[in-house]
Amino acid sequence: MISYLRADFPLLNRHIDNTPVNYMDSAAATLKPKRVLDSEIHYATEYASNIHRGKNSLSNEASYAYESARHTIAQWIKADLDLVVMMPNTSYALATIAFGLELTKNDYVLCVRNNHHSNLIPWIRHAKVVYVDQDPLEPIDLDAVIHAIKKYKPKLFSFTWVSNVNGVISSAEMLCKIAKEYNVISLVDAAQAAAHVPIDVSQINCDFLVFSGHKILGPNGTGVLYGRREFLEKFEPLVIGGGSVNHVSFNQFTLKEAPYKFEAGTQNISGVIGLGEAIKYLTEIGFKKIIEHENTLKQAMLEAFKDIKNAKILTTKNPKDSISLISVIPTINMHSDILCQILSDSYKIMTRSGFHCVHPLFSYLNIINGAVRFSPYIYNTVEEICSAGKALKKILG
Amino acid sequence: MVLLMFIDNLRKSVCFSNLDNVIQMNDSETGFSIELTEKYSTAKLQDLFERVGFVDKQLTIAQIRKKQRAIFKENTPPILNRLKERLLQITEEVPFFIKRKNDYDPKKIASITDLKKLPFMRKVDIRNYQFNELIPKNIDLSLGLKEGSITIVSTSGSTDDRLQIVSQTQIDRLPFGSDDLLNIAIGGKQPKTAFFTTPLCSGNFCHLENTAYEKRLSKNSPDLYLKSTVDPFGIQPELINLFCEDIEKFKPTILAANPIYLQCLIRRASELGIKLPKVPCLQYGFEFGHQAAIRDIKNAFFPISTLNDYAASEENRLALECYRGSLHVRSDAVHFEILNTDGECPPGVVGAVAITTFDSITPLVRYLIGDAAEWTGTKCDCEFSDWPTIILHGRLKDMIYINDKWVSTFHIDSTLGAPTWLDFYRFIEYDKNSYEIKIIPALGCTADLSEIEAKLSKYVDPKKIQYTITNRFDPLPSMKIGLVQTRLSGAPEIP
Repeated sequence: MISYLRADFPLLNRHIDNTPVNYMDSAAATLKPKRVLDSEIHYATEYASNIHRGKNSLSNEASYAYESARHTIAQWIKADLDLVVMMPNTSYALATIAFGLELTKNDYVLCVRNNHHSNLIPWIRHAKVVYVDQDPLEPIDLDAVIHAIKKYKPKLFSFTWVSNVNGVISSAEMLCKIAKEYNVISLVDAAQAAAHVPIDVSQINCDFLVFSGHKILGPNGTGVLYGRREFLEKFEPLVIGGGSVNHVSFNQFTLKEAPYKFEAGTQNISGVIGLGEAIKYLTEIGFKKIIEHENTLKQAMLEAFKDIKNAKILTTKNPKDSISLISVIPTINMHSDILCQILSDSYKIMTRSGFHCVHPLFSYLNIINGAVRFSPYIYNTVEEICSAGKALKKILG
Repeated sequence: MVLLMFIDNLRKSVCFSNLDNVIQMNDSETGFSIELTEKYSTAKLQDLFERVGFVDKQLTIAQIRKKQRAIFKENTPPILNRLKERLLQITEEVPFFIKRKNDYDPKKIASITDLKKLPFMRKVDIRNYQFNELIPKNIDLSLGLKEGSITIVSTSGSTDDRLQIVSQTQIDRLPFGSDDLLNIAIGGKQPKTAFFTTPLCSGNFCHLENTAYEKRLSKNSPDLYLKSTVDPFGIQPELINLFCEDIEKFKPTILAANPIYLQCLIRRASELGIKLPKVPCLQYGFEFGHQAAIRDIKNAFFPISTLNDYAASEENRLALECYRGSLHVRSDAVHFEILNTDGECPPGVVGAVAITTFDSITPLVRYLIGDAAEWTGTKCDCEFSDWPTIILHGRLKDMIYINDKWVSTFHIDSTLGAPTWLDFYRFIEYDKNSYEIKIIPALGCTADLSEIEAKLSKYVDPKKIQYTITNRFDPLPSMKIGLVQTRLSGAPEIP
């Protein structure tokens, strides 16, 4: 149990109607520990200057803190420093890759039916999307991927490491290995994975990996794009401007090297510094403890939610294949939004409802009223899971 | 067999059916129905049919409704009995009241004034107990939801305002004989109603709001939810065109609207030269309707009736404005109290509204609904004259304490009136020495700040007021607009 961490999260002191908030919406945004918030405040109150282009001492301090955060992130995912590009979020990172790959409508992009919209729409816009033929609630099937690659000869295989709908984990390493064998570019959407599994891009051997800061205890408006050197060197940035160029004349410009050419304009400096602090915090806890605690929460959820009569639980066949994330679909005449509101207002349990930015998956599964997602994290307790189970039973029977 | 003797004499709209040895007779022209459960002699049946207007073909439909309304009244127990019956029922069937049986003991109530012995219910009680204790034991929530007989209504609002309430799916929004209340032809069924309000008016509907016409039609009632907007002060022509198309297609008897959202739509339509379709009746509710909004609505939709419908998610039958301009309490559905710290308010004194519901699934007893009102003390001369009349003052949390008096949205609005140059205003108290009035003038007009200054001086030293001319207001978390607001805490629960 790592529940002692609860004291680090100021939001957990929030009470509504004299009842403490039970926060289970971490798949949308994790809570931020105090030291992350403090690091942002420290930037704003102590040096606050813009980075890189200034020579005043405060600017140097800001640049140092910003680049230190990049260093922390690079170390965390085992990447070279210059291959770590700071982004506003995962969606922005994916759009940057889609632009850089110069895809055409003659190119196939292989996806899985559980891809988040952000990992689908850019490919629909630029190329032809084809899907791995398999149950989208289960880990990505290696044979099905090989079959699809042989059939479509895609340029890119872009998949979700951990699903944001049912938490299913796929083998990123094996999937990238297959892609490599068939000369297909691999892209790992690690938005949901980053907080739950250790990332080692050299071991995964992916061409791209992207994630957001706000899902790993970091500030909103931060994200990371890791790219293999050969791609980042030749990629055109999606946005260009101040900070991304070496020289500009009246009619020409030359871009900086990666990662700076992708970081045009003033960056979310305090956010990146906060993200670095969040990663230090997670590193100090260690994934061994995080995974152990999550397994406890997952077992508690499966136990607490198992006898709910009028609900379908979206999970994997083998619970070992998922993180501590479960979606509940009311099978009575109740929209998931209403269930989410009741949980919030009557029980102070904060969940997320709707279609979770995976509309095609819900259409495929013929789920019309959406699902309520419970995504506890390191600060949640088994008692909170039990309360959620009791609340669901009260409401759904 | 006796009944067959009357068949030729019955009005054409009267039909009957035999269900489980009970004969049900229904007047499709008025919606009135009776059940014949005993054996009647010819004379008795003749008398009954005459009293309910089933046989007299010479009477006008309004006269028939009058007769039928008298039967309703005759069969409705006195208010004290209804309250005692309700308490008896809920202290036997609803866990919340069973646990608090001593507090809600019907024996405590020997007269209406004894009601004050019962505790108040608050929004927090619904939030905390709705799904644990406030559903009657004989109600199967899951089954009701599955079958569609029960729904969960969700209110909009900020965190401490929001709640969800279990309710019947089919509740007649209007009382029997509303033709005479609204002075429009409704007939024997609930009228087709098109709703135009905030996009968050109800969690049940918000996900319907952006979808196709067919999906915005209610499955349970003859209602259409018109597409709304998150930016009422920046309405686009497409929304107005869709509004017009939907109204033309649906042909509602009533357009039920948030008055400020509708005023925004009218203003923008006028700017764009788009003519709005007519509807027989317009009811406004969902938030306080200021005089300028009502003026614009009446001008845009003239000559239809423009009437107030005071409702809430917790009980949507609170008060209805009749065509004579009186806001009648729905005595058929609720017992209505207006209270201040001295107790029951006499006519003319503003107080907090507390309601006790007679037939809602989630029972509410002395429930402080969060609004302020006053009894008028006058008797309306419409057909619903036995329903007492009130003036609605807006939300209690918006009341401002000035010069040892609580000032309501109604007070401010009455003071400001509806000068031709004024479309919208928002009056905000920041602290006791700092106020602001934001004004959106009518199209092509200039704000007359001296007029505002003079009018508000009744309440506030004009030097303490900041005057701001603007072209939009930010909606509240509930997406309502809020004409009068205070940033100070401590607005009264009961003034």
